Amino acid sequence: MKCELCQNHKAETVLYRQKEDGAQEELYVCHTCAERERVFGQERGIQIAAMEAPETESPSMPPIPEGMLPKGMEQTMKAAFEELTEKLQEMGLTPEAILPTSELCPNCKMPLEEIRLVGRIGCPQCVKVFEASILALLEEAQGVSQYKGDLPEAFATISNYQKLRDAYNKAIATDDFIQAKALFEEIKAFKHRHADDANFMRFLENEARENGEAGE
Amino acid sequence: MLPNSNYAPTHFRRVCMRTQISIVRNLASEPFPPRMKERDAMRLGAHLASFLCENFGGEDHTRNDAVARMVSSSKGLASKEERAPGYHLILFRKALIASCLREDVWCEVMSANHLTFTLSRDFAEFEPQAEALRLFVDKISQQLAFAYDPKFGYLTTQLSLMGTGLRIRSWVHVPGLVYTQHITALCNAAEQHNVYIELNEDNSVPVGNRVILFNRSAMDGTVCEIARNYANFMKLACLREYDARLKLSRDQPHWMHDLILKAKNITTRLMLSADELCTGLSDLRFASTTGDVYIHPFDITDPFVLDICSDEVFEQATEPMLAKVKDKVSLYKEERQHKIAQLRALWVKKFVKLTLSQNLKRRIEDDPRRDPPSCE
Repeated sequence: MKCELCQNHKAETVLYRQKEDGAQEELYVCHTCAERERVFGQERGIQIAAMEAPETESPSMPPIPEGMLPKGMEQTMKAAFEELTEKLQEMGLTPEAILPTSELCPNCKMPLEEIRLVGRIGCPQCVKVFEASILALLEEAQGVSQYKGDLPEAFATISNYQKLRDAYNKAIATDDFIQAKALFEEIKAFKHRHADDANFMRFLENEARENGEAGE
Repeated sequence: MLPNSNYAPTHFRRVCMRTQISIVRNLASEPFPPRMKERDAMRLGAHLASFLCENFGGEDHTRNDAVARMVSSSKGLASKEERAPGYHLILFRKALIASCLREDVWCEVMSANHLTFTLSRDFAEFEPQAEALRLFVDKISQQLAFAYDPKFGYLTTQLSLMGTGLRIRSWVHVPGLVYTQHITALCNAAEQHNVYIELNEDNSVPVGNRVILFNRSAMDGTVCEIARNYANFMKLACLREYDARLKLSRDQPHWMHDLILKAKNITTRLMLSADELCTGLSDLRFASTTGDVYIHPFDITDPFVLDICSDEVFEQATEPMLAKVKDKVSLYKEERQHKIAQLRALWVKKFVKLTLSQNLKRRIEDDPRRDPPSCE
């Protein structure tokens, strides 16, 4: 049964509310609401009938099927579990609090757990959101995690341009001005050749803007 | 019913029965099909199908049941029951795409990915075929923005395809390696070439000694490089298999003789299951490639020969006769099964017209050993 006041948590205790006609009404509420009403509810005629302590079952290790573990191992695991629980309680945490919660892709709502389990992603956004996890999964599935394949035409143009520009910068740095001049001419011709490529032109604009900002 | 294929070299054709090359792409702007709502998937599927037909000369065969059955049994594409919402099946004629392509390209719209382009045949030229398919897909990418990330390559639903989106899959007939118990060695060699061999769950070889090979990585190189690496391994696998066959035929004539007769008996039995028929045909095919048996008039080395054992193809081939048997509801279930088995026996009758080679007979007479070999 849900709390009759907040409708969110499980009802754990009962309160009595004095109605206008004098009759008493039972309210089943959670501990948070009960605590609040204990402080502020008296003006509204609310009395606390009972305030049961929340069920604090001491956490126990889930049962292990017989024969699954070697003899003596179960005892060792139980001892380790109890030790961990004690330490967590000292820190004010429960075992559930340290369990990983499943993350979701904001675009397609694909949980990371499902990607791990099924080996499938839900949308192009997933690789950005779960980049590190997907790289690890790719390493496992394909034995590599770095793409070395063909580039789409737009990316190929940009990549070739960057190679030329890097070579030009290197030539300048090593005072090889003859080579630098040749590369400069080549870059100029390259830009002219790909003037129709909208992606490339956008890249150049962004680059110019970034360089401008860096200069400032 | 079975195609007469002459593309691959004879030696290669005797081992590699069929190869499927697929390239997968997804749109950058949409979630992948498994995460799409049914209505959205139907809308996008229809849109992509009409786009491909109008701009690239595709033919929509989605509603053609006969084509659906054919592509499902011989091309390994989704059957009608497996189709997801929005699924469309588009055919691109090879003449319209590239002159070097050996086969028409089939495109599945809205299967596990938005677009899956597939080429399926018994060709041996993996590299030029894969490259031609990639160039065609790249041509489409000039008008459709595909999901791409510089770090991951082309994004696909399956992590195993991410990168180039390329999957090369071959159906390989390896009785020689199975009977000489060298299949594990082949699996180990495959791992080194980044190729995966699909066996049964318990690591045994599937019925008919036919295993499926496919490239494990789709991001470790360009389409050409992956295809070249795969082709190198296939050459190695075919060579090893062919050596094992000839070795068995040369060293174990009695065993070969028993195997052929057993296979013949299996195919002539009346109560024949699809698995039994497949085993029988596999052994006959194996024996025919070593020259120990002649089978006429049927070409048992045809790449699709083991496919005919499947219930699906059998039902297609004998549809009118089967319909009569199935319509007779008065027949008891067992009787009906018996009738179907009889039909199957009639259907495979052409396979059993075989003659043992004189060479094998002579070798048996010369061979002092009479015990069967240790092979299972």
